[in-house]
Amino acid sequence: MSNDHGHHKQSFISKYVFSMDHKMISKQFLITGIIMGVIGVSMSILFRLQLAWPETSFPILNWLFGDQWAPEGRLDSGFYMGLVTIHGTIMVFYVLTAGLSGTFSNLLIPLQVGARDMASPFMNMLSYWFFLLSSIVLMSSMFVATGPASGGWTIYPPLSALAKAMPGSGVGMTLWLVAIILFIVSALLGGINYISTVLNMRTKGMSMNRMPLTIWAFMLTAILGLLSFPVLLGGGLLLMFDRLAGTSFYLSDIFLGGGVGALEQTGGSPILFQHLFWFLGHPEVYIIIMPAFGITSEVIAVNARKPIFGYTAMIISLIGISVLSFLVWGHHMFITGMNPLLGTIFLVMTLIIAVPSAVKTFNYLATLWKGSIRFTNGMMFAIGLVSLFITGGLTGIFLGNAALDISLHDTYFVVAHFHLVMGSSAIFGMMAGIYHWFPRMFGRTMNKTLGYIHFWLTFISAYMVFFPMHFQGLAGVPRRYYSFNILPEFAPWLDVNVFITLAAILGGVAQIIFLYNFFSSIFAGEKAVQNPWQANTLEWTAPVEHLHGNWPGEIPTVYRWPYDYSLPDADEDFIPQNVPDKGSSEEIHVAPVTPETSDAKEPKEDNVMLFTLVKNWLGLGKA
Amino acid sequence: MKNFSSKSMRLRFLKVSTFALLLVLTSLQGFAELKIQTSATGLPVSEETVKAGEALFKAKCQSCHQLDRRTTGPALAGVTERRELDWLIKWIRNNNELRQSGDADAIAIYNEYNGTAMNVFADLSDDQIKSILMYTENGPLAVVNDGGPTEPTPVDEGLFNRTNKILFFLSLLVFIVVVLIIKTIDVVGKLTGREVIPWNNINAALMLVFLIVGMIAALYEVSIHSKYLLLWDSSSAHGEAIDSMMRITFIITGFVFFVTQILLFYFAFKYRAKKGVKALHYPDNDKLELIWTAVPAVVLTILVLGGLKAWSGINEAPAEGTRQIEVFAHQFAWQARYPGADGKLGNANYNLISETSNPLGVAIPYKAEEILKELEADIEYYENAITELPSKLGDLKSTLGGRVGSDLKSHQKLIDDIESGSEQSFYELQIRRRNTQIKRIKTSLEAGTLYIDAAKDDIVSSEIHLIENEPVTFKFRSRDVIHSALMKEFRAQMNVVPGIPTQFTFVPTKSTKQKRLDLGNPEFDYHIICNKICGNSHYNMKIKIVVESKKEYEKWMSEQKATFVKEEAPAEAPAVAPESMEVEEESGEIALN
Repeated sequence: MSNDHGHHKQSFISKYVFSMDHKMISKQFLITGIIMGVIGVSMSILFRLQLAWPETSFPILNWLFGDQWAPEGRLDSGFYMGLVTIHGTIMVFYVLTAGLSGTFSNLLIPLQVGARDMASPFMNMLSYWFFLLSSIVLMSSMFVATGPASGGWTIYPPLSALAKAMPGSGVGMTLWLVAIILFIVSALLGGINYISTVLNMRTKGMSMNRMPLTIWAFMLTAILGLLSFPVLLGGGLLLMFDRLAGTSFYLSDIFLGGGVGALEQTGGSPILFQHLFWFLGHPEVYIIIMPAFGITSEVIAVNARKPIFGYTAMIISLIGISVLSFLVWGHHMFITGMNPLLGTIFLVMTLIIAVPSAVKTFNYLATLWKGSIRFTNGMMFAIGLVSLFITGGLTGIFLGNAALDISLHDTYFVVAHFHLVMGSSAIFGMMAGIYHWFPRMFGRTMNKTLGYIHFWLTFISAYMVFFPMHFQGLAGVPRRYYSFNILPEFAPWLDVNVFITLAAILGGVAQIIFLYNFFSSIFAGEKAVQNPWQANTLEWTAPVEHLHGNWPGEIPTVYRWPYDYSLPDADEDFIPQNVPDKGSSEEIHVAPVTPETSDAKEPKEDNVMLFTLVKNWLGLGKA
Repeated sequence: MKNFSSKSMRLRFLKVSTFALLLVLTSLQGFAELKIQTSATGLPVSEETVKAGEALFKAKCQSCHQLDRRTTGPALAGVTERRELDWLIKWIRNNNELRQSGDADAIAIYNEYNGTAMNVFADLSDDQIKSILMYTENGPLAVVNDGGPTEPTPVDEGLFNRTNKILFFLSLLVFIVVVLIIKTIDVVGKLTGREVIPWNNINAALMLVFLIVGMIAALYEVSIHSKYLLLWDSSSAHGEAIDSMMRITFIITGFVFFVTQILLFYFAFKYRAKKGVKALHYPDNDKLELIWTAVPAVVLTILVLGGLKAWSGINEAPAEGTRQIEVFAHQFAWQARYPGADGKLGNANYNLISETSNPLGVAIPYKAEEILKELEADIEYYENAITELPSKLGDLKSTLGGRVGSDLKSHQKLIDDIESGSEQSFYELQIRRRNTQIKRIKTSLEAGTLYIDAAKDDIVSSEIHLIENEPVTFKFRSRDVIHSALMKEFRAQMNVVPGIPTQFTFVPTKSTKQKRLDLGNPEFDYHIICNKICGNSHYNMKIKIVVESKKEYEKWMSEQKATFVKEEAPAEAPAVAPESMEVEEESGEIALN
């Protein structure tokens, strides 16, 4: 343990609370994300009780929410919608965007590209604190007199714009908007940091075409976020004006019952908000799933002891998905009465985006083929992701088809689709990442047997919960319904709802095993070795103990791509990226010739020129 | 789980058999038993009135109320014992007015339900309201259970609580035992220096087991549920195109699903790590990748083409002269407006909506005048309310003492609202809104172009009737928030957006009678249900659609009365109509000039 990298003594507060170290910030994101995840998942189980046993009184509901929201032990219909809304918001933004991307981008970007820290550690710290503040604001909305926002996580106006339209559109909705605005600030601060770190702070020899797929995924995710979140920010601010300042961006021709009467606002369009929302909303699902892809690519390659199949194709598909994800948002709005021609365009674009997704899936299969698979906990979750992504992805082909969407829009088919393709899949990616990089984060390993039990219970319950929902949806059962007394045709699905709820409870119990394993392993897990999975990437070349600056002494130089597994003529079945080729001549043209300082924090003068910058980005400029 | 469901099955069986027994008994006796003999409504109790009340209850109240349990609004059984009859009638007819008049009970209910205002039912007569109340006194008469959902399965609470507790402790126990076993195995493994359990092989085998069990479960699910799916037997002309598209997509994705999942889990099993076997270093293969880029691309192109064909077919502009029906949505009900004999719908505008006198805001001059009067009265009311605020505050403060609990809370809130000025600013906002509305109505009356003749014979109905095999265009209009009209049997859905007119044209091909025969369900009815979250009672918003032959339709239509004929003197109506028509024409010209 050397102290040549400015190790100064840190107080508890600067080390654990207001830390600017990317590894600590990553842990902060993870643990906050897990806490939010526990809240979000618990909410889903509570409102599933209502769906399975609509007539039964549950004392626990009354105990939790009081007479106002759960009179006689049954959820109030408005509060039911509130739980659904906050569940969606928490899972989409707080767990799967910040919890997933925030954790692993922070942990892995500096460690895998070979940097001492993020480009701006201070901004990085701010990113976390905005996220925490946003979480607190969101949760506080559960305690206001009129209840939390309850118009669904998509908060379509006019319902969300008019405080008198439903109780949840009161103060709860304002708090929701404030929370999301804070969240977007956090996401943007993080995103700018991730992108600049990847582009500017790679170590010697780490050209773009030697970056692990994780880094590619995180960088493209950050770019998506940077381009799309501001649009939601704008949309949200306009909604705030409509709510509080009497503007009419989204309001027109409205007469509200309950004594309110005709509103003054004219000329706005509620559909405008949907465009703004989904311009973020659709890239958002890729913001969620792409880091999970990145993690899976790495975990599968390491544990199949094989190079990821089609590295270049994987990058091209990621880029393809990123670009196309901005052109498909309209498929959420096929039945808003949009111009049929517009619907046609979105139909075509949506089905095109299935091609890169299919390529990724087949490449994962090819990576497993003739591998030597070690079923570590991380690997199992990665395989689970592929399975769930296939199932969920295929149903996207139904929903992307405008004609079929007429029948399926806003039914349980949609619920099943996105819970598999971006909900469960991304959770599985996150779990794969947690199990895989736990030794790197905490210097200990998690108990693998508990991990296996956790995996199988979670995997089985994920399918038991979401698979039957496809059939409900195909039978026309609408989502966001408090109960299904409306039509006698829905009666047969009551038993299915009981089944789903029981499966969801099973899934919830499985997460208790995980929580126990996670928190007990932080303090009492088995001590980790430096490279427990025999992986090639740079993070495993750093010592187990966390150093400020990551590596003692020089940052390692990179001589090869990260997937040199099971090379036929090598002794070991892996060759880390920092191992030079012995006497090989073919790599010389890529390897840097000019010696550089490894400290990338000092930008060189010529980096300012765009041409040089582009050349550097492409890995051509080092010669 | 199994245990639980079999118990609930048994319970249901018990329930159903008691029900059947009751039915037999009552039919033997020849009359349905009424629970009470003397009604608080003062009307004589008769089966007929209760039945009428039940029908009204289902049409008007059920979206927010049930008899035996609180939903969006309170449970209504025994409501006549809790409240005075006069109060109930006033409340039901216009609860806003009652609340505005400062009625403490009305305000308390409003606050108890978190500021959810009840709809206004100004169109109900005293007798109708009384029949509804009589229904709440008697409860549903012994009618045939129409398939269950209105009679949900009862769950024995005691049983449930016990099962919960037992389950909880059992799972805790299992969890502790599992943790202990695992710890022991770990310790043994560490002591002996090698793995006790060959996890890698076990997990690989489990992958295969999961695949096989999962596939069987998936097929089983298809076998039991496919009869409910919207894959065939649509009731509209374009529905078949959607259904066949759906079936093709189902087959293609189903095939890909099975193939890829089998490959995934089979590979996971087959290529599990074995001693001495090294993985194959195989980083890429351009040909292979080209194949699995091209094949999905081709398959998707086929699906895109099919989808485009179906989509453009559905979106074809309706032929000239297609029958138009306006479908009007508001929190939480639907209404239909038919053009009268002239086949043309009149105009409507949200400024002309009045919950009491013109719920759809149809542009009729005399209605507009009525609304102007209502609005002026409103303004006067709010102005008075503002001047009375100080004295109201004093009253509230003097009656604060002695209150406890939620009563104290809601009382304090009333005081706070006045003291913070939010009450006054709300009144001022209401006055400003009403003034704007008055100005707009006056302008429109001056221009006159809004008030076309076609409106006069329009018919408003709370049921939609359609002619079999005849195209129809639904013109959607929303009063307040976004709703979505889902008609699953017709494979039709369209959002209903305030301020933006939308429409959907389709041809219903199966009459309600035919569909009932097909399904073997004599109770079946087509419905529009709301499919875009629109508020607390979103889940209860529907309207019945009846598809029938042209003859039946015409018979139904002949029974409908034009809604906007002036009520008080039918004989005068023709005399009024031409007069106002003239006014319109004149002002229309002025506007044009």
